[in-house]
Amino acid sequence: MAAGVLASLAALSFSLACRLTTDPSFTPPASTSLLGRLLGESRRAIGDDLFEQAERYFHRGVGHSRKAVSMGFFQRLSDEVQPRVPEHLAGGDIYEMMPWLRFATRMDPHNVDAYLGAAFWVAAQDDGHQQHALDILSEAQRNNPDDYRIPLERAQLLIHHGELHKAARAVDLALVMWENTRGVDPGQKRLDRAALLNYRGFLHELDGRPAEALVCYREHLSIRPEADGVRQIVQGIEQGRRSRADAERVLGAFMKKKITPDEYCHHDDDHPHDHETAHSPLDLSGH
Amino acid sequence: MRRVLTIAVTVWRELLRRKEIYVLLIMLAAMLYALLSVNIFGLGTTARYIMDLGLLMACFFTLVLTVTISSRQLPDEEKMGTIYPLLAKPLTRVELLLGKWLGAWSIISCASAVFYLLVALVVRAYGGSFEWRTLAQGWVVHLSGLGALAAMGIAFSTRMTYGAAASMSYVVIASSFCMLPRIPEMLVGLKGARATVLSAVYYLFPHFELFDMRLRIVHEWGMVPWTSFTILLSYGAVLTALFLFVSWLGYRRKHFQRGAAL
Repeated sequence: MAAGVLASLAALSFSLACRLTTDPSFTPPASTSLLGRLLGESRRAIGDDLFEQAERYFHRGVGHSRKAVSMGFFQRLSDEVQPRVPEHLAGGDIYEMMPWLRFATRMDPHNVDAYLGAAFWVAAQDDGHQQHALDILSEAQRNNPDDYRIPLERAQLLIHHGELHKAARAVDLALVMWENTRGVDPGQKRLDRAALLNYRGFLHELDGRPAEALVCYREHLSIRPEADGVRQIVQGIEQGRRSRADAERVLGAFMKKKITPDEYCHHDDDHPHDHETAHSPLDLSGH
Repeated sequence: MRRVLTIAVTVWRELLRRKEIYVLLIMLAAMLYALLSVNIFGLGTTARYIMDLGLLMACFFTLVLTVTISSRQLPDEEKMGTIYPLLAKPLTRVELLLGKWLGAWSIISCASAVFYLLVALVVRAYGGSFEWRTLAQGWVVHLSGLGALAAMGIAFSTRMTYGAAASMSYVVIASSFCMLPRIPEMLVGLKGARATVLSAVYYLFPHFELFDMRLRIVHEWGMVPWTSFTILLSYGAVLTALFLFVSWLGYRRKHFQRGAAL
């Protein structure tokens, strides 16, 4: 009797195991590492915290300021001990935030912002570590194959270094992936698509294809009708006032452009910022 | 004063025999070594985060040491029955308390000096930059806080067991680091009883977070103005005196019964 029950249970377990492993809806856990198993979904929260720590390092250890009631002696003393007004790191000091970005990506490989920040600042250094930046983006792409922001960053990097054909391929890939990328703020996603179209139009211009460039610029205007600079470029191409030489001049200026930490900072309420500059640093008018 | 020093020396002897400080020092060194071997995106590693995490661990270890050592001094004496021969000697209870506090605080001060020095030397050897004067100032401020913390541990242990006194100390420390700095933000738009309670907590709880100067040291914000430095040390001294006074109040008439604490 007992043997029969055991045999039935074994058969049931075996068939259930076969079903679980062959069912198309069954997916193995995203991470099989010890860390992944131990921490589970809390990895994301820890990764976000490490990313915030990188931001604090960027502001020399000072976090986001919030409204507070004045509490007299203790608060004044605390303000003396702990600086409250952020300052940006500059030059080689920027590397000081890299460990936290690295830890953030190790903790949560889907933290695309951490990858993008790391690649951006590695590439922005004077001594230029473009290959390192591209390697970081390759790792990011392996871990996040459907996120358009990675090829977008790659395209920016490649344009900055004059590798236009590779950049065009990256932009095309990003435009294809854009629709299916999840987890990005809709407003941000819209701005990013506009930036992608900007880049694609610009690359078409550099390739001597103004008609294709116009299509991209017009789609950009349908997303951001307030973009007067792009409108002027559309008019310039339509009226034959803008040529490939103008685009090449813009490219030359873009390639020489130095990134400053103040330009990058676009999060804190206590210092004003410009989101568009952060996401589309390409000024097509060449001013 | 000689009797106070004698008690302090016995505390030193006991702690050196237990070897906890060596273990923590080895742990700190191992952690620093692990951090040094991390390669960041193929770019090598940087020094500032090593300084940051190293000082964090140094502070954490000294904090744990302070709570552990100060909270167990009196309960251990009672548990082992050694309190009776101690009190039978020409030694007042104030002297006993002061001796225990001095012994605990002085050995923790030495341990923290070694921890700070180890972190500083590793960071400097690795090419990191920091200001020695700010580091020294931060260490002195840290010691001031540890003095108050040791006194608090002793104060709790006069009427509690070792475990309870240590737990209470950790609760107060956690509150002062995690909750007190947020109260001014929490009070925005808050009125009535909740605001009163929060304000009372803010002013009544000891602000141990003030003795943490790591932000200034790690991010090279420079030294705290001397006036604020003096105020911080004075605040530490007042807290220490207050906790030692509370200890005395709790201990001066305490009756001991053989076997009660066993």
